[in-house]
Amino acid sequence: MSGGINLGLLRAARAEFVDLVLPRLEGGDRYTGAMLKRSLDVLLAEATAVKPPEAALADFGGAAALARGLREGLVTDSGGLRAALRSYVERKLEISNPRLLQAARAASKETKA
Amino acid sequence: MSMTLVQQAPDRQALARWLTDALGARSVTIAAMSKLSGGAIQENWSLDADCDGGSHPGARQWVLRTDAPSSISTSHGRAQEFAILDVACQAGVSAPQPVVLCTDKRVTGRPFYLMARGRGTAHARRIARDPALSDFGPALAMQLGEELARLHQVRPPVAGLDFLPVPQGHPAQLRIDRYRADLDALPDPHPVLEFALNWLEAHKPAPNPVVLCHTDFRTGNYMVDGGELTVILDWEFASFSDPDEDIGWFMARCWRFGNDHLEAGGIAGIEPFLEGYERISGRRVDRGVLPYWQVMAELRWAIIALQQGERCNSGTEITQELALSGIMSPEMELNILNLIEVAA
Repeated sequence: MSGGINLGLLRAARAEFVDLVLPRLEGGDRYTGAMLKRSLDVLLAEATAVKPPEAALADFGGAAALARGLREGLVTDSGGLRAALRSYVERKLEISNPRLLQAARAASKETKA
Repeated sequence: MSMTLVQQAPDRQALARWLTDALGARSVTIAAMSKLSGGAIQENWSLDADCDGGSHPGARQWVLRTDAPSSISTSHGRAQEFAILDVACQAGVSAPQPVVLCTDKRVTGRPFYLMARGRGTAHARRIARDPALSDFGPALAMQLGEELARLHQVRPPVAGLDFLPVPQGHPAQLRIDRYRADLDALPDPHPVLEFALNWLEAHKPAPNPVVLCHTDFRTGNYMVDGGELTVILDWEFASFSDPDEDIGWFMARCWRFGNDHLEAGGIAGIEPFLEGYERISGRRVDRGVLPYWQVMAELRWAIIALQQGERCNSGTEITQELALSGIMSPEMELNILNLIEVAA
């Protein structure tokens, strides 16, 4: 179990959907199936995330406190803030779109090289 | 417990009866009708009709556009959209020619209008992955630049568009205020977007005179046939604003569909687009302000994605598409952080 989610059940549901159901879908159903696979991937990544996004903002009191501080002008732009926000976004992307994050990191390395 | 709202096809017979009367025809027969893909906010139905007499005689290929079961607050109603199409067509923009508007909900249950159906595809990924893109992309981008410039020649006041507010003050500031209010209406905190709003407020460029903006001018919202533009779609967000807002939206990375190096909507470099735009508008576009408007664009799309997710989370309209839109905002947030880093 992770956060109340039965990971074994989730993994099994995803594996059987990908191996048995998805290959049989045709036409518009393939699009729906691809969305369902993506949903299961996100749920699984969310349930097994080792770096919770929120933790990246711990120095600023978490997402809610930081958002409020920024709105009220109590938190201003700084290198530390930008680094924390980047880490927060990257952790969210590790869950919702890891492929995009990998591509972004590769592109960034290429630019720096 | 919430339910998914079922999207029902408009009643053909009721529609045919109403059209017969509205078009002054002896009779109208609806030969075919099918739902078109896309349109999270509106529904579009392909409609083939045969009109006996009246203002539009003969075989016609139209699109019936009507409200989706739920919509977001910033989009116009069908009557307003119909008026905008009319103004855009009169300005020489390749917008769908509006045919007839029905605000009587007794006909199909929701307001709707008919417009001419364009040729080709609006499928963004299909356009962005066309093997011939490098051949037709620059010319298409130039054509799009010319079209946008024609639209931007429409300036307030405009007869028939009295419902569109004319910004009093800096258009960028009005957007910033609006997006802060939008964030307030969402249940979760979004510190990256708050950071972006503060940055946008601190770096506002000198405003241009306000013009009629499409406000959703991007790849996916125009149709292409044989590499050529046929029609510009989806006018539901049109507004008076700074013309650079439209250019920034068109350029934003979130609308390049994987062709990140092609700044003109993922179809070409930006210069052919700006060349076409500048030739028709006579206005030199300040390249230096375009990253600013791209940040605004990424921010806006992040908020729309969150709003779409909330439509699902709230139980108003439960679909996977909306739920998955709701988790897209980190992609735009990364683009925002990258743009701001470069701008600094």
